[in-house]
Amino acid sequence: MTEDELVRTASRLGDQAVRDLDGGRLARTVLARLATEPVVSASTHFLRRSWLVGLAPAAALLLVLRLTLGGGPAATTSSVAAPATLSVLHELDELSAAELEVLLEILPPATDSAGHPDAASFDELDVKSLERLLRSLEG
Amino acid sequence: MSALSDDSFQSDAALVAAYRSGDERAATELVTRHAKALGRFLYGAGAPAFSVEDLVQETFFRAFRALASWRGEASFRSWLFRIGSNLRKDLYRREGGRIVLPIEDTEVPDSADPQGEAGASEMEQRLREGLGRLPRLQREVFLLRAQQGMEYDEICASLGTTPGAARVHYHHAVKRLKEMMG
Repeated sequence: MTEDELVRTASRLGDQAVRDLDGGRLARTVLARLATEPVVSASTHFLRRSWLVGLAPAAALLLVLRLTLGGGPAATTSSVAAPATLSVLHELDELSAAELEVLLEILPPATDSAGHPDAASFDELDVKSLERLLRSLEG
Repeated sequence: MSALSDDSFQSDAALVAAYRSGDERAATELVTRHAKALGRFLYGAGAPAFSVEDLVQETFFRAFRALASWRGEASFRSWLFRIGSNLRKDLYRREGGRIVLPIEDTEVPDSADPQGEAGASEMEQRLREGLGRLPRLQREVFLLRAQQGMEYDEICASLGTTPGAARVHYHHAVKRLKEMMG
C-alpha cells in the first residue's frame, strides 16, 4: 500500500458515519442547550482550577499532618512519616498566600492535640508562621 | 438582507462575530459548515459511529459556550477540532484507555456497485483499525493531514504541537499504517 492509497482511503473514512448528520438540526439542538444551560465564564473556570490546585496538596498535607501529629500509628514513628512529609511540603512552594490561608481554614484540629502541643497551637499560626514551621519540618 | 445565504460566503471569524452579536443564524452556518468534517475526524479517531453525532453536538456546545476564549490566532476550525480531540481523549480515558470499534460500525453499503463499495469499506475499516493501534498524536496528525487536508500550521494549532513534531508524527503514522495494512 502506498502513501497515496492511504491518503485516498483516509479521505473517505467516516463518510458513512456522518451521512445522516443534519447540520440544521444539530445547530438547533446546540442553540437550545446554550439557551438553557448556564455559561461558565473563563474567570470562574480559573477560580475553580485555582481552588483545585490548592486543594490537592492541602488534602495531602492534611493526611501527613494527621499521621505525624494526630496520634495515628505513625505518630510515634516520625522518621517513617518524614519522607512523605517532605514530598508534600514541596507542593506548597507553588501555593499563593491566599491558598495557604484556605488551607489553614480547612485543616481540622489534630485528633490528639492535648498530647501534642505543636498541633494544639497550629490553628493559631498565621501564614508566614505556618510557612516557617513547614520549612523547619523540611529540615 | 438574506443573512443565511450571505453567511455561506462569510469567513468563520465573521460568523463568530455575528453570533456573538446575537445572530443565531451565524451559529447555524458554522455548525453546517464544519459538522460533517468534525464527525469524520472523530470517527477516524475511534469514536463509535453511534456516538459521532453526540460528540459533534457536545463539541459545538462547548465551543460556542467558550467563544470568549477564542482569540482568532488559530482558525475557528483548528480550535473546534482541538475541542473535539480533547473530548474524544476524555471519552477514551473513561473507556479505560481502549478504543472501541463496535462490530456494527462495519457497514455493508447499499449501492449499485456493492463489491466496489464493500472493498472500499473494508479498506476503510482496516485503516480505522490501524489508526486505533497508533499513539493518539500520530493518529490525529495523520487524520488532520490525510483526511482533512490541513496544513501543518493548522494541525499544530489543533493539537498543540510544533510543525516539526507534526511532520514526524505524520511520517511515523504513514510508515506504521503501511506495515499494518500491507
